[in-house]
Formats: sequence, C-alpha cells, structure tokens
Amino acid sequence: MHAPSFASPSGASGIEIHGLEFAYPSGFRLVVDSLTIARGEQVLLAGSSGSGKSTLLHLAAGIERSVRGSVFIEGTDILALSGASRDLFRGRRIGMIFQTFNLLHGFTAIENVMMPLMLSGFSASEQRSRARDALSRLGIERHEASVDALSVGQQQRVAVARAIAGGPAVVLADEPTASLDAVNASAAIDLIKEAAHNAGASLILTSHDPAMRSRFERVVDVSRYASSGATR
Amino acid sequence: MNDMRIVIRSLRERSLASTVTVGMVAVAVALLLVLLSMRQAASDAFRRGTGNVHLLVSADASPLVAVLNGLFYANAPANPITYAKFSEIRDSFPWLWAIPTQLGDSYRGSPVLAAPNSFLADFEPSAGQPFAFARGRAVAKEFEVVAGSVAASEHGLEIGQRIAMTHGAGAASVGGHEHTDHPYEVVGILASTGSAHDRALFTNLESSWIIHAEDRRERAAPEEHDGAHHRGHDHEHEHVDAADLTDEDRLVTGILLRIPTRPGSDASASLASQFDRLRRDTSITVAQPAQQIGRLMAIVGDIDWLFIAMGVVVLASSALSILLAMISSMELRRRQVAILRVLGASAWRVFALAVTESTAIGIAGAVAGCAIAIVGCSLASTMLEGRIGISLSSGVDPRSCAEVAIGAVVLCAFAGVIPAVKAYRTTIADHLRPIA
Repeated sequence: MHAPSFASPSGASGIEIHGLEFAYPSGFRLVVDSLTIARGEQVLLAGSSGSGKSTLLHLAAGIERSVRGSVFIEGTDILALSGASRDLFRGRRIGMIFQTFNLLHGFTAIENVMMPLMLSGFSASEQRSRARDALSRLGIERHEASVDALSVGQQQRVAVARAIAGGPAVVLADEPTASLDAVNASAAIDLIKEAAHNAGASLILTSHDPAMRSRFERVVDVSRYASSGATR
Repeated sequence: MNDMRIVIRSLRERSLASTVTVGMVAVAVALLLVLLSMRQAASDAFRRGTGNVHLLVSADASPLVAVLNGLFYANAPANPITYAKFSEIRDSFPWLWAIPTQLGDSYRGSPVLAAPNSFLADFEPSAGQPFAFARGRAVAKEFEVVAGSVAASEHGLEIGQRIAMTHGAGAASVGGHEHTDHPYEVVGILASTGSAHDRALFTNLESSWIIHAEDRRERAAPEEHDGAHHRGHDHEHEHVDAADLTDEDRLVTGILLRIPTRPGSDASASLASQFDRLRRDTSITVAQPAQQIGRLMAIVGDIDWLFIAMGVVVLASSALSILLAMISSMELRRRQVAILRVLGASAWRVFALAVTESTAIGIAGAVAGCAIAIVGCSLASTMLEGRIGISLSSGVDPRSCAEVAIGAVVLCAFAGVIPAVKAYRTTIADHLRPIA
C-alpha cells in the first residue's frame, strides 16, 4: 500500500503538507506552502467560520481533491493514492471526529466503532476486541445499545472511540465542540486530546472558538492560507 | 460486523418500506408461478380426463362440444343417438371396446352418466389408471348407482342410501322434474381419479331408459294426468320394465370407442381411417378427444399467456418500486454513505452494498413468493379437486420456481444499480456537514 514514490521528504512527521492548492468554484482558494505536524503533536486549526478549516481537514483526510500538492501521512502521500487505496488508507490510519458525530443510526455503539475496523480489513474477533477496549476506555458500558438510545455525551464518546479504535496515525476533529456549552466543550476537548495521546496519534482539531487557543500548545490560523473570493 | 450486516441494518432501518417491497416481489413471483402451474395443471387435468378413449361419437354440434359434454359433463347433450346407430357403429369395426353412454339426469347438480358396467371396467379416466372402488361394488341391476369421489363427499352419499335423480343436468336441473318414484340405491363409491368423472354418478342404461320411457308414455297420455310436470310426482306412473323398452326408448347421447393397439402403445394406425370413415356419416359428430383438448388448450393458451404477461408486468413493476424506494431512501442516506466513505469504504464498496441491498430484497421476495406459490397451489389443488374433481397434481414445477426466482433476483439486482450509482457518486464532504 505504501508506494515508494509517495514517500515523505522527512518520513518522520505525523503529517506533512507541501504546495497544497485547492479552489472552490466560488473563487475561494486555499494555498498551503508547507505545514508539518510532528508525530503525536496536537494542533488547533483556528479561524473564523468559513476560513477554510474544515476544507483543510478534508484535504488532509483525502476527502477533498486538491488542484495540486501533497499530504504525507506517515510517509504516504494520501492525495497521490488511487480512490480505493485512499479510502482504505483513511480507514486504517486516519480517525475522524465530527461536530455532529456522524454516527450510523440504527447501529449499536460497538457496531459503530467496529465499522472502520471492518472496512479496514480487521478480523471479526479483532474488530470486536478493539471496539470493546476503545469503548471501555472512554467509559461507555452499554456497548450493545443503539446509538440513538445514548445521551449526546455518550454519543460523542462513541465517536471518539470510533476514531481511535484502529490505532490511527492521525486524528482529525472537525469542530467537535461547536454545539456544546463551555463546560462540556472543555470536557470534550480533554477527552479527545487524551484519547489521541493514548492512541499515540497526532491530533488536528478545528475550532472557531477563540477560547480553545489556550488549550493547545500549537495553534495554526488557517486564515493565512485562504485567499479572496467568497469565504468558505 | 460485515457487509451483510450493514445491508440488513439498512433494510431494518426502513422496515416498513422493505417489507412492502419484499411483499410486492413475493406477490409477483407467486402470481407468476401459480399462473404457470395452473396452466400446466389445467392442461394435465384435461388430458387426464379424456383417458383412453380414441373416438367419441355424439350428435352434438361440434367435436369440441361433444368432448366437453361427453367427457367433462359440461352440459347434457340435446340430441340423442339411437341404439340402432350405436349397434351399427359397434359392428362396423373390431373395436377393442365400444361403450354407449347417456347423459341427461343429475343429482343435486352432479351429472348422472348412464352406461354399461364396461364403462367403469374398460374406460380409464387417466390412461393406465382405471376406475377403482373406494367402497361398495358396481351396478348389478336397475336403479343402483355408483358415485364418483367428489359427488359422494359433496352430497354425503353413503352405501345403501336411496336418492332421487332430477331430469336435466347442471343449471338446467335446478327446479327440474325429480324421478322420486324411482329412487336409486347407492351401491358403490369410487376412488378419486383426479378427473371430471369424480363429480359424476354412474348407473346403467336400463335405469335411465325406464324412467324416461315412463315419462314419455305419461306425456303421450296427458288426459290421465294434470298434464304438467311438477316436482316430486305423487301420482301413479305407467310401470315400465326392461322388457318393455322399445327402440324409441333406447337412446344414447355418446359412444366411446377404442381401437385395438399394440401392448404398451396408445396409438393405432387405424385411428385416422376410422375417424374419416365415421365422419362421412353426417348424422353424427365424431371427435378425437385428445386432439380436441389439444385445440382447446391452444385457444386457452393464448389467454393464459396474457395472464403470464400480466405476471411479468407485476414483477417488473415490483422491480420499479424497489428502484424508486431505493432512490428515495438513497437521498435520505447520502450522509450514511458519506460516513461509510470516511470510515474507509471505497466508492465501489458502497455501490456493491446498494446492489446487495436490492438483491437481498429480491432474494427475500423470491423465497417468500415460491413459498406462497407452493402453499397456494396446494390449497387450490385441494379446493379444485374437492369442488370440481380436477386434480392439479403437478404442483409448482421446481424448474419454473428456480427460473422465476432467479429472474426476480436478477431484476431486483438491476433495480439497485441506479441507486448504487447515486451512492457511488456521493460527494463525501458535502454530506458530512451539520444539517442546518
């Protein structure tokens, strides 16, 4: 899966972005000459709403296709991979957390956590043991409960468990606290940071909340990568 | 966790829509299978009813009517043949057997066939399967009767019971003249043959001739009576017995003929020549029952192809409903597809999941449809055999079942392709954003 031509210049970083250029039809452009996030580092992508935080996160996850440039994760240029390989790589090495959790309704908590493991080719027994372990570590005991029957806080924990269960290289969290009050937002940040740390993964978290800046040692303002046209 | 569980969960999420769609496929599959089975069964039942008769002679208007009247008891033939004509035909060729029959009376709507005992002995309702007695014996003297299995069960006939026949057959017998002065004793009940003969009762020709002779003589001397036929005569008839019968009384409505054949063969080289010879006599109608039933099935066949075409249309509309249901649900499930993509599912994998979902609906519908068809045919067979004596022994043909089921599954799988393409083309980022 790791083709030599995709090798990172340094090979040691969690994420390396080089010459990344992306444009929406509206004219909004995002240009990242260089951004390196070390393995295990936790970074806040800050910026106002529509500044391109989610777009940069999606580019890093290979969900959006750039005009040019590369995104190396553990030495693999995710943007150079073919569609199916990129999807598989994302399932195996990238954990994603969303503002609205994006859990699969109709499935149980453990099934939601097992889903990326199944799609990544883990055996059935490995799926279940990893999912149980991740849920238990995050304090979810009702593994077989439907996610629709869980509280919002528990749903968020399931979403975090799903992101870390496969042992990702990178956890990408897109505005995970946007709909929470200050107390719960702080608790959620603690939870995600701890989970990513325990999983040994780099963490990139986006937030438009200035209060979040103090919670991260490194803050990257995405506004400096964005240029004109309409905002995103 | 595996792909099949994702499909099952997806179907369960839309359990009502899934159930309705599976039901539609099941109904379409069952309808097609029942139509195919009934078509074959009806053909088999008709062919079985003609039995081992080579030629049927009557005075009916057409050969097909002769067969439907003479062997399937559709109506009592209006025009008789004299016994002298029967004797002439019988003596004109060394037939294996020649059996005169008379159809004209009925018992509570069930036809009564008057024929010599050779009818039950030589005529086989289904070639190679002669009549057999479930209880009792054959007719030994006048005013004894043997009941077919359906007639016996329908009217609750038992050995020793005495019954009165009604003049006329079928609808014509309702409110008709009852021969109460000549009750018949039930002496035998036949085993089921799976043919129209199970609906009939059988007596000898003399019994029928005697009561009709008495009626005729009564009509010829109206001044002795009030002149009107009415139900349940309580007046004295002029008594007639077998010795008093004249040629005018000895009338038949049909003659069953069989030409000698080689052992193990039903065909005879003489059949065509005898058929042509008898046809030259314009006073009678000659039919080859097997040929007439073949023609009837060809006519009916055109109609039942129409039914089968309707079944196919129902199946196609089921596939269309799957298509519409899945397209509709796909619009609602874009987010689910996007989540699966983010979690590592390739575009082809979500395409395959969508096709698998429609295929699963097809499989569930096909299995349910086959089960409904098997149960339905069994019930229909029981009902038809009980009510009209037609046995649908062929049931659901396993090959038809497999072909229709495979066709339904393939159709459903194709119905899933368009929603699958929609799933394949789902742009991930657009569908992950919070819903406003």
